Amino acid sequence: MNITSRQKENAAIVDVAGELDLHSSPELRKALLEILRQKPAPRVIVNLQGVSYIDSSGLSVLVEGLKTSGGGNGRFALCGLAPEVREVLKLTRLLSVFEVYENEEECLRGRK
Amino acid sequence: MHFEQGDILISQGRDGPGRNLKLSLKLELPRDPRLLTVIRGAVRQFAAIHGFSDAECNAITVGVDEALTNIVRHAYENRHDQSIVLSCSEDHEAVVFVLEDRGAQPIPRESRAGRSTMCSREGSEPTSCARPWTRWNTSGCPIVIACAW
Repeated sequence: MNITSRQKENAAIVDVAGELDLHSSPELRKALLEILRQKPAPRVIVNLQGVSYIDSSGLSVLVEGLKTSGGGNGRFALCGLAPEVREVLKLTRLLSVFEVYENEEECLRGRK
Repeated sequence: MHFEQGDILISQGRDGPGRNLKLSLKLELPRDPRLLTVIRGAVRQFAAIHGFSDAECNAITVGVDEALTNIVRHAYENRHDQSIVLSCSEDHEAVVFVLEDRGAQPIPRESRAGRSTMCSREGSEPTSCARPWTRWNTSGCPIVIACAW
C-alpha cells in the first residue's frame, strides 16, 4: 500500500493506493493520526481512488479518523471510492456515516 | 509438474467412479499478514471458476477475508505465529470455504451451534442472506462459509 499526503487549499489530502487490510491499515492509522493531531487540526480528505480492497480493519481506521477529527462538520471526508470499496461501506452501513464525495474536486468544494 | 510464481495448486479428486470431477484447494496460511492478499486472490479465483459473477466473487472474497481477519484479531489476538488452514471445496449445492484455527474458541451457546455463515447466490446482498449453519465440531470450531450455486 502507498500513502502520501499533501496540502491543497485548506485541506490535508491523504492519497491511499493499494489494498487496505489487516497488514496495511496500521500504516494508514499512523498517517491519519499524525495529521489529525496537528494544531490546529486541518480538514482531512482521504482520497481512496487507488484503493481496490478494504476490510474491517481498514474501516476501523477510517472510523477512528472520523472520531478523532471530532466527526461531522466536514472535517473528515472520503472521496474516490471504487465500487468494491463503496460496496463494503454500504454493507456495513457506514456510507451514511462518512461524508463521501465522488472525487477530490467535489470534496474540496463540499459539493456531492 | 512445473510451478511458476503466482500459480495456484488445485487438487482434483473424483466423486464416484470416474465422474463428477470436483475441485478442492487447501492452503495452510502463513503467519505473514502481507500474504492475505494472495489468499484473497485464491478465493476470488476459486469462486470465479465455479461461475460466480464478479460481484459475487467480491462478496465471497470479503466474507472469507473477514473470517480470516477475525481469526487473527480475536482467536490469535493479533499474533501472526499461528497457522490457519483454509480448505476450498465444492459439493452438489455449494462452494464451501472452511477455516480452521487453533486459537481461543468461543463458548458455544444453545442458540448458536458454531461459527458459520451461509451466503446464497439468490440474495442481492451477502448480509441479507447470512444465516448460521448448525454445525459444531467438538474438536475445534471451524468457520464454514458455504456459497450456494
